[in-house]
Amino acid sequence: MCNPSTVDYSAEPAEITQLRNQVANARSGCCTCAFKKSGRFNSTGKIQQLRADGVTPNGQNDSPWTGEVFVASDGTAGTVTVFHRLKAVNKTSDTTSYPETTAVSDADLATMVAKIPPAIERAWNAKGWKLKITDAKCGERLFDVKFIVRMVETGGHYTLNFVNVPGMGTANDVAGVSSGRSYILPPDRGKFNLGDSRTATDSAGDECLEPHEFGHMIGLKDEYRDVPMDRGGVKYEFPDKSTETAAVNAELMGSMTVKTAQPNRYCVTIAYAAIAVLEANGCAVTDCVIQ
Amino acid sequence: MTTAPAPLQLAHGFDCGPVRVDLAYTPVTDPAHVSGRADGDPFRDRFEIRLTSRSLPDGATFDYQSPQPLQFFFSVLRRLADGSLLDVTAPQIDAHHTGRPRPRKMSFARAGETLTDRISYFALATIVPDEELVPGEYLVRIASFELLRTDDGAWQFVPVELPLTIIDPVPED
Repeated sequence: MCNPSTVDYSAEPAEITQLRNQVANARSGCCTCAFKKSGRFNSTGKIQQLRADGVTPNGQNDSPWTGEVFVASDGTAGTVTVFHRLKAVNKTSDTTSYPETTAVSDADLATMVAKIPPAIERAWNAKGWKLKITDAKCGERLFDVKFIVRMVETGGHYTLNFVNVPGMGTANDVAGVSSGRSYILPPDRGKFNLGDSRTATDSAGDECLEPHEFGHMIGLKDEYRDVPMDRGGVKYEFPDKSTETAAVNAELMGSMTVKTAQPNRYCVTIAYAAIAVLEANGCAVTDCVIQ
Repeated sequence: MTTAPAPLQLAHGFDCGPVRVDLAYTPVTDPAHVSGRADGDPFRDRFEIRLTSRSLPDGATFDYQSPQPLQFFFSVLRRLADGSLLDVTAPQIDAHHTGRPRPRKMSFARAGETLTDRISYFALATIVPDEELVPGEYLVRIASFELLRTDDGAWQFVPVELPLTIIDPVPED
């Protein structure tokens, strides 16, 4: 007898389980311990979206986001692990809230959304960022940054409504947004369109839609340069006080010609989150550089 | 005592050349509906724009611009204890993700027909952060914009300020 294709939603990555066990034994200020924060990460105000002149902030800063960040070290090196649980809600039949959507069965949706975590992990682990973090007690340590994403049935950091609309659609959804457009509504929910040609949920396409949205799930802003829309990129302030203004369309947080997260600036909210985790656990961070 | 769900209330009306425009809305809501986290009917609490033909021929098409996405049209202000107003509007979704406003073709099939555009309060969560949508008194402003266009001309939405109460859904002892 042939079993239908299913997704094991219940399995938490062994790596995360191991980190949880380490966290349980952590001591404040320890240089060889693992620490974590789970839940909401507030806006740092260190990212500013700019108006068309490329200088004037438009009032939009990095968004609050939800997730789990583990910082583990052996004393000289370690890992910063960013874990997101995503809960998929099948809204493909809810034409009241989402006009133009076409029904997809729960089983088919489960199969499709199972492709999202690997697509996000491929895009966000491609660069292999490192954080060189210095603190008063532990000195300089080099942390590998790793992103882990899983679909779950309960307890999601993000609840994502899935619709199935061809292209961008023509009507507005219940939130007043074009029915085919995907978005993240901070700090913990969003809408993803299976019918978007860029989705990772089919076997074709660019697989960049969900990785782009994931950037918003860690607080990043769109960094398009688009004068008619009064957009002039984004200014980033790094933990070492250096700044970078990016007004480019090609990268993942722009129009996604580049389909993986490459610029170091895309790791900045994680850098601030890692610092916050360390400082909440008795470490006094004096410097952090993204490499 | 103020409770939800509250009935729709007619709050605004004006003529746009050959079309009569009326706006009704739900004056009282709760945090779950105004943040888009409620179960059940998402249009329980809503803005409702009603268009009635005054002199348009049956079947004649016109362009109608619904005030969506909200960030292009709406602002929300909380009334503070001293009576002053605090603007709590802050777009939560970039305009590149919402898409820009697009008028759509409409027509009246017959005399006396009313065309209705409903905007759920769920949409308010796209322009106000969750933590700002707390019980209290608010003012919802809808700015002027080109609402209707026919072969004979274009007509603006007459701006309006709508008082809105967000109640605490938990009964007090």
